[in-house]
Amino acid sequence: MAILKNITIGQYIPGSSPIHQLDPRSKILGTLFLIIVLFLINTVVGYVLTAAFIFALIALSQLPVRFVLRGIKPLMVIITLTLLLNIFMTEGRVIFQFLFLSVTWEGLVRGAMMAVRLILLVLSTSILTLTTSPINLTDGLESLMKPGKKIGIPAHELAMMMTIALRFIPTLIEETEKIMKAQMARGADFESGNLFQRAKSLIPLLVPLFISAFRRADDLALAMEARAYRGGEGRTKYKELQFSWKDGVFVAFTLVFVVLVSIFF
Amino acid sequence: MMKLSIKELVITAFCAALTAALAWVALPLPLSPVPVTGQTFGVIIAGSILKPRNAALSQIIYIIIGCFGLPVFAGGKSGLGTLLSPTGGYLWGFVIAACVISLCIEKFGVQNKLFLFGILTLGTILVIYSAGVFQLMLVTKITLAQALTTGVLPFLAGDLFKIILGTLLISRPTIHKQGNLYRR
Repeated sequence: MAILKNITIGQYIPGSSPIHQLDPRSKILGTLFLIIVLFLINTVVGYVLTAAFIFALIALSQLPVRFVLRGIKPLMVIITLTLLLNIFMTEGRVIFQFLFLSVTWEGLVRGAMMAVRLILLVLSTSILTLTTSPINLTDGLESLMKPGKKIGIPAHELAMMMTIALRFIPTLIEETEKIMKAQMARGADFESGNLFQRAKSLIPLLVPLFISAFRRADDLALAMEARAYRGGEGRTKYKELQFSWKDGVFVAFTLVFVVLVSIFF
Repeated sequence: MMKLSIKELVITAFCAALTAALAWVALPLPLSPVPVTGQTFGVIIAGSILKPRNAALSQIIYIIIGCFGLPVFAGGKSGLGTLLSPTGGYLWGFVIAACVISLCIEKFGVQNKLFLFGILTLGTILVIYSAGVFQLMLVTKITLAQALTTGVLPFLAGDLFKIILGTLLISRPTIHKQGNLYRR
């Protein structure tokens, strides 16, 4: 039983590059376009062009490449697995045979494409999260979802819930650690026994955690009510999002690129 | 869509935060290369105390937060890439699972532990794995048998463990009484 440590909350790296300065809305849209194109293309040229586009964005964002590439690491296992499964399981022209395993040309190409697609997916989304702070992202998402209100998407409520959750995740993690230590001091044993005993030993951790979370939630709801919070209707903002001509250019350029690549490749 | 009250709004956000915080609690299992992480408890608790719609909403919030780059998915992963990667189906599964658990509990209550065990098995194993295997097959284009061996078998022991614990947990009066507060 262990709390995973050494994970810093938030990937955002502050900066002043052209990409950092874009409105979060245009960055979200641009990333969405890129994701769509990654699922539409199926030729090598298409992949090369998209990869070039994404690397150009990374260069523009002035992020340390090491940071961007780090996002791939947690997915390395699944990428390798995808590659291997595709290489060995696809039927076609055999180019290499070892005992019962055979490598085919088709499998090699398809596996490589799948792996590249996954890597590009991770890269394109890391650019978004590395250059935009979570709060900005929430604001951007709220404003993008506003038109959805007509079909019943509660844009403001969703954004508010995200902000609350973002605020309380570190608190709850800290709380988990504290409860665990407190119970260990009282003789709780999280590490031995069979499956069922260990399941039971987690209860002294989870019950207080849930109860304390409920209590905090009650307090917060009360505080919000006391300050007359009444949803997004007519609420003004301290920082308004600004959609400048740069954003227009960025979104238009990405859109044109995406449409052209998905039509021709 | 019905409006959320302040209380509902806050508790739904907290269920999302709990799911995220529990992802950081890892329990190594014997005979399995993958540690068991706690998000499933977040799904279970959301399903047991919230209305079906809010339960689903809480997991959607959890996923969006993960997509924003906070390392709240299993093993400290994050980003939209994870959601679209072969293993992302399990995350979509959370949304449906929380909703299904909530619906079932609304219908059958939490008094009978055997029933509860059944509900949680249905909610977690059936729903989450179906979604997981579906996306695994879709993204990597492997067969059903391969998807089952890579995406289901290694995790089964751990999930059985979680379901037993979940049953014990939400049949506790202190926990399920909360449900009466937020379901009304």
